[in-house]
Amino acid sequence: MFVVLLALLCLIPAPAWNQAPDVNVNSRYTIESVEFPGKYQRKLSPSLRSEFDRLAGEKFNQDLVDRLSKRIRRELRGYSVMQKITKGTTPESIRVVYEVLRAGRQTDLVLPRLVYHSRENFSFGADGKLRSGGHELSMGILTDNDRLMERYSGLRGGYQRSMLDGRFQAGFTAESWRAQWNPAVLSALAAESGQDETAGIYRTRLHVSPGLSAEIVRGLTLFAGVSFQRFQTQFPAARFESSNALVSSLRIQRRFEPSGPGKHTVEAGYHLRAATRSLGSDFAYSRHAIDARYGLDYGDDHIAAAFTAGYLTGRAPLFDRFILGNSTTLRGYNKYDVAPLGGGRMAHGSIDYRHKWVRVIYDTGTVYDRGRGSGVLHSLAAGVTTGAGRDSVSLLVAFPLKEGRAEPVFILGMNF
Amino acid sequence: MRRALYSILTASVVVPYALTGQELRPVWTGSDLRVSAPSLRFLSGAVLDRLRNGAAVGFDFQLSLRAGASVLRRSPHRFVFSYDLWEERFSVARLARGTLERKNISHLTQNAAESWCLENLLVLTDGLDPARLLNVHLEVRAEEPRDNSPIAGDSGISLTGLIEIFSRPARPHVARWNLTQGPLRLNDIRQK
Repeated sequence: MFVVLLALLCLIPAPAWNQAPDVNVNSRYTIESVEFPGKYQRKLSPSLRSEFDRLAGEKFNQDLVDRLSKRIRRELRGYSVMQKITKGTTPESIRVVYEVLRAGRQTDLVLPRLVYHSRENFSFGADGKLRSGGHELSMGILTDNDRLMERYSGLRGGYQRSMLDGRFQAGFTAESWRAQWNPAVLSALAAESGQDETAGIYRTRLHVSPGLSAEIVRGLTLFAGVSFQRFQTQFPAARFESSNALVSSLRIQRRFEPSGPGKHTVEAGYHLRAATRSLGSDFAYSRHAIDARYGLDYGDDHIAAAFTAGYLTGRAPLFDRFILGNSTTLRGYNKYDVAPLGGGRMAHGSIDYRHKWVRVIYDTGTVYDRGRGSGVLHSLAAGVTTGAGRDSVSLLVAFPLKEGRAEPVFILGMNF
Repeated sequence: MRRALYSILTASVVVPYALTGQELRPVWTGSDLRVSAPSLRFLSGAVLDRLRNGAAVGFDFQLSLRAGASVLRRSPHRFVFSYDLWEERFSVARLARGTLERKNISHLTQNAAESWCLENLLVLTDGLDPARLLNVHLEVRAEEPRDNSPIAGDSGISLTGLIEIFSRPARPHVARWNLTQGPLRLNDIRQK
């Protein structure tokens, strides 16, 4: 009975008010200036900063100023932004004044991972974060069957200290995972027995990684650290092995917002992981990976072209081998069909187009081992999305582009 | 179990309406009912601060006639207040809806602005028996500030943000006022 009543209440339409844009009496005044603390201006995008200049001299518009405040809050996470309108220095003029305060102790619960893949099932993670001043403490849970060959589930946590207005960061992460393996991986390993090319499966994995990162110039970040992984192998005998490595990455991210319409984003990164016996590692290998992405936002149209490639020298544990066929690569395929043990060489490209709520993606890529045949695969995905932002949720149906029978893959989730 | 649930739901509806300290004075013209509330001050506290900081603040008013649990007539109105920074006076706009026309007024003091809203509130009484016992109910609710943090950040969806959004009706700082008068008969409050 109550359920029916509640459902009926939900169906009652809200009153439709004809909200006029000039309900604020101050809209007859001219904006003399938009004042924003200089210290925080560098954290804002160029287009947002240019909005400040654009508003000066215009008549006050409540909706416009509210939208501006919303954009500022979106770009200044972790800060409290207050908007005030005050009298200007000349009659009939007003000033839009922003005050920015660093939020004190701030706690948050974040979902970094939420995706369903019809062949690989759910991947889900939640992180609790406690921030105070420049310190951030995090603790979370995760079960993921999308990024690696195995499903890894467990706990992770870390600490990070930000200095020099966030340009320099130091911290560490610690993770404890339990691995589950698909029968396809076990069959492929059995077929490989006798060859020393591929490492075996493991039951548990403990990972600790301290590191430092610095923003050398605006948009260019260098990271350097070490990674200690200790895992319990299952075959041929249960024992502990280590993979200890020096890790380094260089990442650039720039946004170009010319005076005309359209916003361009360019991101690129190089990642190196060099496992060395001098750190007490049982494995010695180098893992090189590059990725690049170009994005164009033009009104309701959003297009993103992405490329990633990787190269492995030496014998690496399964978690460091490259895979294709998940929610972000070769979306029409299942990673166990593409390469059940991953590969030492990989290249992948994709074009992702969104128009309002429609999304279409073309993927192409190859993954293989040195001295073995490589085949380039293609897939197409189409579906609906709630937008182009990071909070958008998409539902896609993906098909491999190949001859013969092809089963569709359904993907539902966010951030992919 | 069902009875307990019913009691909880009833209490959650009834208790806010029982928290009435101000006086509501209804007047019936013969075709519509209007109210005044001399001691009602809804331009106060955080809402007043927002107005003095130059923001426009919307208020939802609902005047209703009830007989027991059933609502016989209801009339929702939205008024938007703003504060003239140079003239230091209030301006109010009653927004249009359906056949209801938009009305504006400016250069008002705080008290005059509050009174003007109530003077422009009415609920039609066509078809109602003037001898029937009923309650007059006024609900005023201030629009919430639109300063919520974005849900999504660089690291994913913020559950704290989501929880905050879905729990918004229960947020204690939402300014609302409920006034009730009755039971009474329309005949008893007819304007002479």
